[in-house]
Amino acid sequence: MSSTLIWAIAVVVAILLALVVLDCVVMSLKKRRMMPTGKLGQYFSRNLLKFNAFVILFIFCAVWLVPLIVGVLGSFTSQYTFENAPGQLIPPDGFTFQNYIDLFTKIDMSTGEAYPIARWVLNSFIVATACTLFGLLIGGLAAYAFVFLRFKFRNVLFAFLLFTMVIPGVATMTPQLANISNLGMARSLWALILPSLGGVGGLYLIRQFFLGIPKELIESARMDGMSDFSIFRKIVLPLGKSVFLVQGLFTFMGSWNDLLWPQIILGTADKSLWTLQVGIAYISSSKTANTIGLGLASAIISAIPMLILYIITQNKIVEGVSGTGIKA
Amino acid sequence: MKKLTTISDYALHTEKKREFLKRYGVAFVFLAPFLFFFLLFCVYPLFYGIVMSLFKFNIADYTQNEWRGLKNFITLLFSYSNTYYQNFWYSMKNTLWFVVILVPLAIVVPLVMAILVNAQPKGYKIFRAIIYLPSILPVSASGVIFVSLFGTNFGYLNQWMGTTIDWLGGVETAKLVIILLCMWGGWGGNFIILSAGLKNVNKSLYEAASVDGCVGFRRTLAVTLPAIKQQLVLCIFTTIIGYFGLYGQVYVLTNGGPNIDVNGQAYGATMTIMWYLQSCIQGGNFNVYGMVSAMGLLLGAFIGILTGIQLWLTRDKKSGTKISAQFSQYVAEKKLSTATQSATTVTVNTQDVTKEKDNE
Repeated sequence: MSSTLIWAIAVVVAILLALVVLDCVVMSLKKRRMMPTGKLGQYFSRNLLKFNAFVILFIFCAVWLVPLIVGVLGSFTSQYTFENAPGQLIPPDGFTFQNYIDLFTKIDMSTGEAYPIARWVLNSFIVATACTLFGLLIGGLAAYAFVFLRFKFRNVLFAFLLFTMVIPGVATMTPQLANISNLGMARSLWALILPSLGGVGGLYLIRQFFLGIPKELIESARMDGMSDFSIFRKIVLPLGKSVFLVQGLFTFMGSWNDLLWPQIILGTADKSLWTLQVGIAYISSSKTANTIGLGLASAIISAIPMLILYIITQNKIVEGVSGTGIKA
Repeated sequence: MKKLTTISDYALHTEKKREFLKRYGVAFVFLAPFLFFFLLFCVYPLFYGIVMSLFKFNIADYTQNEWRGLKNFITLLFSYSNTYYQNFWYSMKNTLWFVVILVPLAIVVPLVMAILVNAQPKGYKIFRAIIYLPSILPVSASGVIFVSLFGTNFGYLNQWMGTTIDWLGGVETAKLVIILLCMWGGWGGNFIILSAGLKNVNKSLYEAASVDGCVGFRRTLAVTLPAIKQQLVLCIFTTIIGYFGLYGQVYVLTNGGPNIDVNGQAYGATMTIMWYLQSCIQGGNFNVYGMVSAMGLLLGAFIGILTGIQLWLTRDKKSGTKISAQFSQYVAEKKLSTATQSATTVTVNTQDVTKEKDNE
C-alpha cells in the first residue's frame, strides 16, 4: 500500500475518533451541568449536532469527490502514462489534451472512419430537448385537466394512470420494440422521443404541484372571462415555474443519460444514429490501458452539459421538489 | 313577466348544454395529446406483449409466427433443462441478490445524509450539491470512471494499494464494484426526495417533542421518521423497481461477465435480468421475442406483486388509505372554501391538513 493512502485513511479515522471523544465529553459535561461558559463551550453546547454533521459530511463529500477528480484528471493524462506509470493523479509528463483530440480524430477500427462524436452529441441534444419540451407541455396540459377541469371519471382515470406506474418498463420493453417497428420508427430518433411523452411520472409530479394552487384563483379568472388556455398560459404556467424546472431537469437528465433503450432501438449497424451514451459505452467497452484515456475524455464531454445544467439549477431542485409536497 | 322567465329558462337550458359541451371539449383538448401517447406507448404494448408471449414471435417476418399458447410460460416456470429457464432464473437470482443488498443501502445512506444536511451545518448547500452531483452523471460516464479506478494494470486503486487485484474479473469483486457504482451514482434521487420531505416537516413538531424531553437520536426516530413516512414509502417503491431493472452499471463495468461454470453450464456471474433480456434481443435471433415477452411479463408480475405487498404493508393503518384520502380531501376543500387565503399562496401545507384531521 502506498503511504498516501495509508495517511489518508489514518487521518479520517483519527478525525472520527476525535469527534466521538468530543461528543462524549460534551454530553457528559452537559449532563452534570459543568459546561464551560466560554465562547467555545457555548458553541458546543448549542451546536453539537451541527458540528457533528459538518465533520461527517465533510469527510463523506471528500470521499465522494474522489472518483470525479480521478475522472477529470485522468482525461488529461496521456496514454503513455496509463501504460507505463499508471496510478498517478498528476502525470509525470504533464497534462495533455491529446485524449480529446484523439476522440475527434482517431480511426474506429470497425468502420475505418473517425468516431462521429459531434453527431452523437447533436443526436443526444435533439432527443433530450424534444423530450423535455414536449413532455412538459403535454404533461402540463393533462395535469391542468386533472386538477382544474371537472369531468366524469376524472378520478377513476387518474387512478388508472397511477396503477400503470406499478408495471415496470421491463414488462413492456419487447412489445414496445415490436410496436415501434410496426409504426416504422425503428432506427430513428423518433423512437426515443415519442414513447417518453406518455410517461405518468412527470404528469404526477406536475399534478401534485398544481393541487397546491388555490382553486379560487382559477375560478375568479374564469369569472373574468378568461378561457382555459389563457388561464393555463398566463396563470398556471408562471406559478408552476419551479415544478416545470424540476421536472424538465429530470426529463432532460433521464433522456440524456439513458443507455438501454437507445442501444436496443438504434442497433449497431449505423453509428451516425447513436446517442452519446451508446457511443461512450462502445468506446470504453474494451477496458484496456490504451483506450481508458479516450473513454474518460468522452465521459467528461458527456457530463459537461449535465454539470452546467446542474450548477445553474442545483439550488432550486430541493425547493422545487418540496414545493410539490411529493409523497406516495 | 312570465314569458321572460321561460326565455331565461330556455337560455339557462341551452347554456347548460353549451356549458357541458364546452367543458368536455376543453377537457378533451387538454387531455388528448397525453392520452394518445399514453395509450399508444404504455397501454397498448402491455396487451401486445401478452399476445406476443403466446406466440413463437418472429419480429422480422410475421408470417413465421407460431402459436404456442402458454408453452413459453410453462418453459420458463418448469423446464429445468431448458437454457432459457436456466438463464432466466440464474439472472433472476443475481438480480434479487443485488436488490436485497442495494435497496436498504440506497434508503439508509441517503436518509442519514439528508438528516445531517437538514441540521444545516455551515456550507450545507455545498454538501448537498456534492452529494447529489454523481447522480447527474450518465451511467456510461460514471462507469468509465470506475473502470479507470478499478482496472487491473492501469487502475488507480490497485496502484495506490500496491496490489494487482483483478477487480472486474473476479466474481465477488466485480459484484462489489457494481454495488459501489450503484451507490456512488445511484441514490441522489432518493436523497433529494428525502431532503425535500425533511424540509417540509413542521417545526412545531420538533418544538413539541423537545418540550416533552424527546431530543437527539430519539427525536429522529420518533418524530422525523414518521413525519417523512410517505417520502420513505415512495423511495422504497421506486428503488425496488429501479434495481430490478439494474442494467447500465452491469453493462458498462462487466458486460455480464466474468463467466463461471455451474453444473457444466456457463453463466455470466453478474448478469442481471435486464442484461439477459437485452442480450436475448440483441443476439440476432429473431424468433426469441415471444419468449422474451413472456420473461418480461413474468418479471413485471413479480415486481408488481412485490410493490403491491410493499404498498399494502406501508399503508396508512389507522383508517385505511382510501377513506383517509377522501377525508383529507374533504378537509382540504372545506379549508379552501372557508379560509381567506391570499391569491399568491401556492403551497398547501399537508401538515396542517393532518393536524386538522387529528383535532377533529
